[in-house]
Amino acid sequence: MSDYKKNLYSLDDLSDYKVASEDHDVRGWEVEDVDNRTIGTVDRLLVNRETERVVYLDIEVDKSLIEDGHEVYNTSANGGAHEFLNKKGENHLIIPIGMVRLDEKSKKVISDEIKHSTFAKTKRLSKGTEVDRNYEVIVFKNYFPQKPFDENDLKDENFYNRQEFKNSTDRK
Amino acid sequence: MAEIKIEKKKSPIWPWILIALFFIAILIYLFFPREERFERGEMSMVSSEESMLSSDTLEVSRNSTAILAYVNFINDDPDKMDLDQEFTNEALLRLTNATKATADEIGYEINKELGEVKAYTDKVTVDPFQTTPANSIRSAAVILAAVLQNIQQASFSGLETEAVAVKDAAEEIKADVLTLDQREAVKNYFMKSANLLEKMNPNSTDEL
Repeated sequence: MSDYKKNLYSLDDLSDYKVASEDHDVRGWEVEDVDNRTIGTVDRLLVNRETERVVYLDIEVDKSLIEDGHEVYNTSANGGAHEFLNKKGENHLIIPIGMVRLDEKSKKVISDEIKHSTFAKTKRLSKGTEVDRNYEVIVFKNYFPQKPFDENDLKDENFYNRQEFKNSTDRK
Repeated sequence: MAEIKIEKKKSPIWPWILIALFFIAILIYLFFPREERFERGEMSMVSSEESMLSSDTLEVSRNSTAILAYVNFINDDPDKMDLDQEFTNEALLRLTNATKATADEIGYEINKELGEVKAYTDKVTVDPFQTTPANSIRSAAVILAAVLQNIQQASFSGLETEAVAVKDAAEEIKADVLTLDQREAVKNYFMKSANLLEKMNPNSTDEL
């Protein structure tokens, strides 16, 4: 697990890389769920340098989502469930690139599978915080609770081969 | 769903162009300009030398011309030495110019003497030739003879005899005798002067 950081970088930090000319640089694009509820705005592109592609969108979440998150926590606390209590200033989360589609006309990122309420109860990070494998696993378990991890999935060479990082046309 | 690939930025070509230009500039600096500068410098020096030579040649030519103008004037038609006023005046003027040219040639300053000679020459032009003693001609002749002797002593040591002959010829002209009555003395003076100047002439084959 200690090797994964070598392959996950913010594109902003890779001065010798850029978004491929045939693809869209979605930084600054608004992110919505399938019900057109605003999730936030794409702040960074987290890339796997080995495969030379974006694996996560780093989203600066909308205030409405943070407020909804508080309601989720309160409800969950009353119900006794374990939820992540995000601290003030932690307003970033990540979305696997394979879980969104791009609306080029309106320059929006649409999350068809993960809804606003799911994002609201997702553990968030402060802006610019290094994303590590622990956080990735936490997020994945939140987004896909029915998809368990095994040890092999956590290895770098396998992790970004998961379906969640792939284009739907590439998916088996 | 979405896929966003990344790619390496293409190395911009302009740094290579700059590097290439830099090396070209160095090469040009190391070779062409130096040669050109050198050549230009050489050419400039050559040109300067040519210019100086040209200037010297001109000067020599001018000096030589002045001397020849006098020598030829005297030697070409000795019969004219009947010594009319016009001829004497012209001969004195040409002798003065030739003497000055020779003095200039060796950097000998004779402006003061020239001023005196001019004054006497002017008098020769004005005074009636038949009734005036040769004192003005003699004075001019003596001064010019002295200048020529000084020039000889300064730069033409081998022409002492000729210089003395000029001086003697000048003194042969009597101040209180009419010019008309001492044509031979005046003629002799002009001839001796022409002989000396011809030998002092830088273009003369007899140059020492």
